[in-house]
Amino acid sequence: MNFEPLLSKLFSRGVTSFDHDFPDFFGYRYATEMGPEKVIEVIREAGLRGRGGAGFPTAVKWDYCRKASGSPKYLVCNADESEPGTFKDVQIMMYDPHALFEGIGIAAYAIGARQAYIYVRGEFDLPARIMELRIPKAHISMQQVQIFIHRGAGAYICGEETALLDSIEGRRGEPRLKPPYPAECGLWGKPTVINNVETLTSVSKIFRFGLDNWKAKGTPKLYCISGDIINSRVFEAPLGIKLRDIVYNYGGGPLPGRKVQAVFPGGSSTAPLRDDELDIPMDFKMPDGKPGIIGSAGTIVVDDSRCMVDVARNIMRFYAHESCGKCTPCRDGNALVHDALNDILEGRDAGYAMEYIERMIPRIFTDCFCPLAKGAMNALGAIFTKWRADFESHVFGSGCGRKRIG
Amino acid sequence: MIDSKNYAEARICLQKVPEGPAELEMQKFINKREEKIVTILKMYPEPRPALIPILFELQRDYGWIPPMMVKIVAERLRIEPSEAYGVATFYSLMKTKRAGKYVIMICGTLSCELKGSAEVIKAAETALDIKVGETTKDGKITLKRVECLGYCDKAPVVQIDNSSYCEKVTPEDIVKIIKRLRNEF
Repeated sequence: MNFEPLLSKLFSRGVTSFDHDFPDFFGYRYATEMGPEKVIEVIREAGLRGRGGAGFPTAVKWDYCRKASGSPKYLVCNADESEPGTFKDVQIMMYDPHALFEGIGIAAYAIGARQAYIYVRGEFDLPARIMELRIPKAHISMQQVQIFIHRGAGAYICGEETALLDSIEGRRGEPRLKPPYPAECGLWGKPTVINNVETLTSVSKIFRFGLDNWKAKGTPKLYCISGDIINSRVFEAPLGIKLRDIVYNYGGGPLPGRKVQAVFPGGSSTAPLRDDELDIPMDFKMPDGKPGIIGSAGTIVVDDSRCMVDVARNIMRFYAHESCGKCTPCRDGNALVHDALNDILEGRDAGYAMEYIERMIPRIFTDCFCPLAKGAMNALGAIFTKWRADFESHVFGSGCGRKRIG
Repeated sequence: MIDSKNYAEARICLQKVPEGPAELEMQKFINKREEKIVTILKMYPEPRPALIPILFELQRDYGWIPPMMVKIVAERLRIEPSEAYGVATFYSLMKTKRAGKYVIMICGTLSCELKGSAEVIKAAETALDIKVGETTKDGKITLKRVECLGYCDKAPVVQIDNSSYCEKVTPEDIVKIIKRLRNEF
């Protein structure tokens, strides 16, 4: 593979090996000499899209916030990486925090913010401590911006940008109604840009290595792969590689003697695909213009020794537990669907439970407030239609006979 | 943003004549952690966002967050106590009920469960003689099944308290971990 890694260059180093490095923040100095408009122009030319899952063009967001009235402006780095199957941001925070700080400096300069918050999920104690140690050094080189670490307290929903803002403000992390978008009215009602860790690190790499290097062999992107696979790991590859390539090439394929049954392409909120559907690109847009499947690029592989009803039960337990409780379809719906799946697995009135799930999926999907339940129904709906035989074997027969995972 | 006015306001949050035993306890905590609390208050343009970090500091000292303390912190930060309690109970890492000295959290989300975290939980249940979500009779260890901890490549993952991680844990490993935690007392 002749692909030069940019984002994951330092991942093989030990956590403490660069304690005494003094970062030069060359990219930041380069950006501040250009002027903010030009910085946004460079990001637009690089075609950078948000890496957190939504894939919104970063330059548009920055430009909008830059032009918004209201002061002071804030920059928030979303390091609340909680999507099951995603573990790329934590690697950046542990092994390459200076690149993240540099990206924050450049972004803050472009939008005109003086304060930046890094919202780290509460479970990431070590990454947060590593960053806390290194921030003073970053402040010496980047005096225009103050970086603060705000630790979350364990809520998946706080990865949603407006819930994250509520959480920083010291409230329950519940999503806000959009519009107004945070770029106009965000943290404490001020214009705020919220970017993912990988997005900001990419910004730093664009200015450090130049646009030509950035685009040379396809846009660099971090992918994660886990589940029933030989090599569970984070790796860097160009944006738009085929999903089959990820599973069989980078992931090493399924364990010996087993076959790939389902692949969640971008975390557990994306619709799983069968083995024969893997020849599609991992990108923000499909070749035919439909929304892409990349999500947060956390691929989870499930092999043929698993019962898909059981897999559905597992992911619904996650969403039922992590629902913030703001809207009824998500708070009650997810829990009821989880119970219905349990009923199917244990053979309690399974026919009714299956009908119930079928009726609930579109209702929760359309009525819920934020993307949490939409993602859950996305995945569950796809499992329900594609692996209907698994459900039917439990409802009309004596079960699929496979060992349960939990 | 952190001008002298904010700083003055931050000091007001700290200084209040203690009334009653709970407030005295609180004042003791504030005096002990003053430096840290002032740093937290100085991070934000208003006092309210300091609620979650201060409650975390409290949890670090006391092992859990007593409801009475939530009320006092809320009053000093000028938040309605009921609202502050709502915040404290919303987040899963905040212990508003008394928990064991050590909390063993075993990840049960997809990648971990595919790699056998259910068996790890079963082994832990047998070794501790409790069910998931319970605390041992001596009040030393609480066992919890949690959702994704964010290290899916090293599944199954076990986290002890809010800091230390164990990767690729087998049922035999968890028994060893429990033995080591018990010996520490």
